[in-house]
Amino acid sequence: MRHLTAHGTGTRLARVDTASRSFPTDGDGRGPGPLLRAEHVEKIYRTGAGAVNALRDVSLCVRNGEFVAVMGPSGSGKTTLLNCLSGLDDIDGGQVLLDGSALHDMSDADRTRNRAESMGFVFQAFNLIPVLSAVENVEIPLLLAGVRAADARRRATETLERVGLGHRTAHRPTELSGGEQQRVTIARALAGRPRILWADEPTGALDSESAADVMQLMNEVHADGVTLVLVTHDPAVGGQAERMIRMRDGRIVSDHPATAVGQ
Amino acid sequence: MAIVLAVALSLPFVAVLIGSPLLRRLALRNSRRRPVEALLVIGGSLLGTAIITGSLIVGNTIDRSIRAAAYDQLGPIDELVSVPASQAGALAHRFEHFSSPAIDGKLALTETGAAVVRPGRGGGTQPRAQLLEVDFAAGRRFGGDPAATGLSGPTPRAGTAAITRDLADKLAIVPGDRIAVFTGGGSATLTVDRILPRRGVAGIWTVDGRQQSYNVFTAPGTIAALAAASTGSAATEPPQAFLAFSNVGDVETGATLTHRAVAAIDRQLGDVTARARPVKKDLLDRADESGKGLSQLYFTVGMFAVAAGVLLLVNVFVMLADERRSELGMLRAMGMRRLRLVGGLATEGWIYAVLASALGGVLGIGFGWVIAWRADHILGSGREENALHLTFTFNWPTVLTGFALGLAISIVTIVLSSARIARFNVIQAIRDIHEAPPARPRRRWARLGDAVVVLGVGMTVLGFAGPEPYSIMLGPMLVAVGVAPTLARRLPARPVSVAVCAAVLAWSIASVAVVGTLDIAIEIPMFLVQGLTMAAASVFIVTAYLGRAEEALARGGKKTLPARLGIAYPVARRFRTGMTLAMFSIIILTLVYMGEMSYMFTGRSDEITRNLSGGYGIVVGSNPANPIATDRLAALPGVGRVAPLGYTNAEFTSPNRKRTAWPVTGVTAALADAPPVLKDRGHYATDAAAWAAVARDPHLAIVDDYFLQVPGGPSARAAGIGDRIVMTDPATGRSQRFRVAALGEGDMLLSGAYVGEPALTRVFGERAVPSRFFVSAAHPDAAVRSIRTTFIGNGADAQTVRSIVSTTLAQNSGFFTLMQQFVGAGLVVGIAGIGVIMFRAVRERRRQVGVLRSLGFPHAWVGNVFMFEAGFVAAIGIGLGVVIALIASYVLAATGADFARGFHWGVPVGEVALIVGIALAAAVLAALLPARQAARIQPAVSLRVAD
Repeated sequence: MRHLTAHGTGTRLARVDTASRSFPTDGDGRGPGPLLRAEHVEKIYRTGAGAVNALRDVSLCVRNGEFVAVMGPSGSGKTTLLNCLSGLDDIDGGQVLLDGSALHDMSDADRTRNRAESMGFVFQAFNLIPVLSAVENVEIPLLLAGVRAADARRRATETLERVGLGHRTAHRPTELSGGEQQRVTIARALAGRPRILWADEPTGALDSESAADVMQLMNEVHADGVTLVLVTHDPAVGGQAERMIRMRDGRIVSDHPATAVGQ
Repeated sequence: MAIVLAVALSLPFVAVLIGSPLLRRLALRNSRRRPVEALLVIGGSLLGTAIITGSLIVGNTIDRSIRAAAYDQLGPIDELVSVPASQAGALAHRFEHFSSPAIDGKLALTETGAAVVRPGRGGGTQPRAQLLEVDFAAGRRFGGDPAATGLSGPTPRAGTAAITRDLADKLAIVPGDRIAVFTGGGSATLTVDRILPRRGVAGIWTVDGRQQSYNVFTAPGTIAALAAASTGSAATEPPQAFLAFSNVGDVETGATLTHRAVAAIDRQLGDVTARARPVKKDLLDRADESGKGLSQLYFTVGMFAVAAGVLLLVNVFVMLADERRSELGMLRAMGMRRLRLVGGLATEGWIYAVLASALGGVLGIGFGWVIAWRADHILGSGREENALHLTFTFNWPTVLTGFALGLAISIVTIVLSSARIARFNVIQAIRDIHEAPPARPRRRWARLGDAVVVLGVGMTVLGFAGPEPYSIMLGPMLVAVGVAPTLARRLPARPVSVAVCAAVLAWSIASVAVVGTLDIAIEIPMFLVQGLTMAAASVFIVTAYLGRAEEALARGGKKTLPARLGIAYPVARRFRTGMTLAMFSIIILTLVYMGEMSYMFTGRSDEITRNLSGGYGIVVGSNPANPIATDRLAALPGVGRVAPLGYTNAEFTSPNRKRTAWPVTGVTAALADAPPVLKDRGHYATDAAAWAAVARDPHLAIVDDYFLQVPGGPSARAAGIGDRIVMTDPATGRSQRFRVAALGEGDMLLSGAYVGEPALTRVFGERAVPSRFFVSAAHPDAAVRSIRTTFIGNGADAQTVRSIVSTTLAQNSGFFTLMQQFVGAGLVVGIAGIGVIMFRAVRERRRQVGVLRSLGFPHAWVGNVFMFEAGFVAAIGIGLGVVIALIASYVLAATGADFARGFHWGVPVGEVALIVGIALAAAVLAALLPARQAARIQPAVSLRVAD
């Protein structure tokens, strides 16, 4: 087990030895305790027209292995919340603690390394690298984690097989359907065996059949122990989570188990 | 013509801007959408126009610089008639009552060649000068504008002289100084009483083509007295009596009446053995021809850079279309016809083109100035009689022509690119799905290919039968390209394409050498055809295998990930990568090829010296009016063998050249004892046999590849072995036909054509005195000093052949360097191209950068990806250019075709390394800013904002 120094805080952030786990996770690092805690997070977008408070005093906690859905109307701050919690974006107030370490106190390099080693992302727009084949896209996080090229290729191929795309490994994104592209995105997000998977409207650009396939995949991922934070405006999708957070105007307006919301 | 074309091509765009609000709005707003990129596009595109304009301005400058002699050395003089001075009275009598509506004045002068020495310690010598007698009062009345004659004061008195500023400066003379004048075997000491400008009658210069006038005007009767003092030890050219005529009009407009004036004068001459020489018109024509020649040279060489600019424009438009696929698709979906779409895209391009061409025209003035400045150093160096000092000049019609040509080229490129872009599938465009090319060419392509094959076969057959060099070069290439679609319908497409390109490349490399071995003179435009076809074929081959590099990097794991991603885009976007590779390779191959040529030319220094020298090593010129006596020269200590040569200025015509002033050298059998080495001795067994035959037979001549060439690089040979040429005495009109017996090794000694001494005497009479000598000596440098000192009064001008060759090659090398610098400007196109591509790449890939960053890609790596991409493309393009240039130059040297005979191939390593280093560094620097921009992309922002 190696350790990373969280720059600026002096705290040490446990690094998961990715090579010791099998897909999607063997439970290492999981436990009942909180994986991520947000405290009074503020986010302001400054534009020529003025300032927009995208997040206002947001506090929440995500536990290991939890499946959280964030819902709300357009402009409510769902995606901003995901970006801020994952460290993709900076915050203007409060703090986000990942395993007890303040994420936004880390240097950009440490945050980047943290993303490579602990997180996976799935976006609505797929965002695959168009000039790389499916397997080449999937192996990027593995290569970034320092996995040898041959091993990375093998593991990327296995991951694609797990998402049902073993026969499409050599295809480029433009040669795949929307559902297939999103499955490649999920495979890419899972290939590095992340502790937490962030999904921003993963079914937003898909037809109902493809969306159902993707959500089934998400549930399998969650079932295998990966913490899942999913942003969606679709109640049917959000309803599959264990817990549902509703947002409006940059604030959390409700935070309940999904079944309770459903009721 | 170019202006009319540009206006005609622009009219549709003006119509679009005026008549179509939607297209106008799209074109104008899109052109303002990306200011930095628009600036880069304009910057890259304007260079083509700048290069064209610059090359045309070089023509202006050369033309004006030569034309200046019309004012400096002729002024009101339009025609000259010359006879031996002994016939001056008869000539004057013949023209006593002469009048012509085309002529407004005549003036009598007497002239003889002279050497001028400033006596005393530190005194100087001017071996070639003119001693002149003219009535100054009559001279000032001549032509109606006294100021244009340059004459002032009364006619010099006995014992005094008025000299020109050139002579005064050369010998550091001021009024009151004394000079010694040697001519006709005698000498006189004269006191300089005034300095005259080099202008008009005062500047008249009939000795050779130099820009200086070393004139001594003295009292009437001085020349006759000096000629009478001749010792008779050697034949001398007698003094000449000139009758100068001034046409109605000023210095230049008078030349328009030359035809009528010459006819009137020749009628008046009747049976006198003389004829009117249209000296002014000849000079103006030479100015035009030389200006056009050099302008064309730079224009042709500059076309490489223009081609790079065209590729940049194509690339930019393809990228624009890629970026706007969805919106273009939507426009089509909403019912916009393809033609209107093309119109909208092209109108935006037209706006860029107009701005770029206007700025390019202005920048071209600067280009022209720099070239003129550098060319002045090169052309003005070396031997004075061959030097040309340039005065920078341009005129606005030339700039406008450059603008129009640049604009026309840009418009054609833009329209063709837009038409290609507009051919897309609407749905795929809206969904931003890239269309895969059809697996096999369609049948109509195969049919078109068949037509190209027929055309290629026809050109090949006719080319070899002609022979016609461009058909020989292009015919076989067209055949190869034409069979490709048909083959690709039956066989795998990529191997077919690569094989066809390899065939085109091979023929392209070999073709110039093949043309040369067919005894066709190699012209500069052939190198343009060769360069462009080589670059196109090799770029196609390389882009087909770029994926191999990516595969190799894929094995490298994490360390090579940035490099691998950097390569991934060039590999995937082959069209735009190919365009960029072509931009770089065209420029680099031209630079390296020219470097190779210069290197190989210079490398021939020893061989050329040996060939020109034969058994001699020194060339001695002397004043024909007071030549060195051969026996005295041979008796000089340290001097070995001496071959006397007649030498004068003649006019020649050849099968493909009109009347051209060119020197002629008369040889005797003595030269055949140790003859210069011939480049091609024809059917003669030895060089000596060829020289002996020419010395003996008054109908044989030896010329060289540069015979009757105007400045502007190699062009079609004026005469080959067996061709007929005609030599004419410009003073008398007497002429003689010759058959070319052999070809000599260049004309660095300025010998002109070699004919037998008897033939020279037959045409030029007593003016064909032996005044030039080839001399051998054990210690050439010492002998040169001794000859100059001993024969100072004879106007001895001795030089070793080695020093002449060395000076000429240095000039050649300087010229190649200048052309390299000119083409090197094209590198800016390539660099701008890289800049445009990288800026657009950053914009295109913002989301992908965001994804990579979200996956844990460090920001420094993002920058590295873009830097590597730019460096990779530039390095491949540069490498291609270097390799092709080296191979092509090797083939040329190995076959020894045409002017490359005797070339020994080698690599100017330092120069090539410098070219590669500068190009690569500039390309990487061009990518620095966009790479930093990419590295700063915030993942959340790029994922949130599509544009």
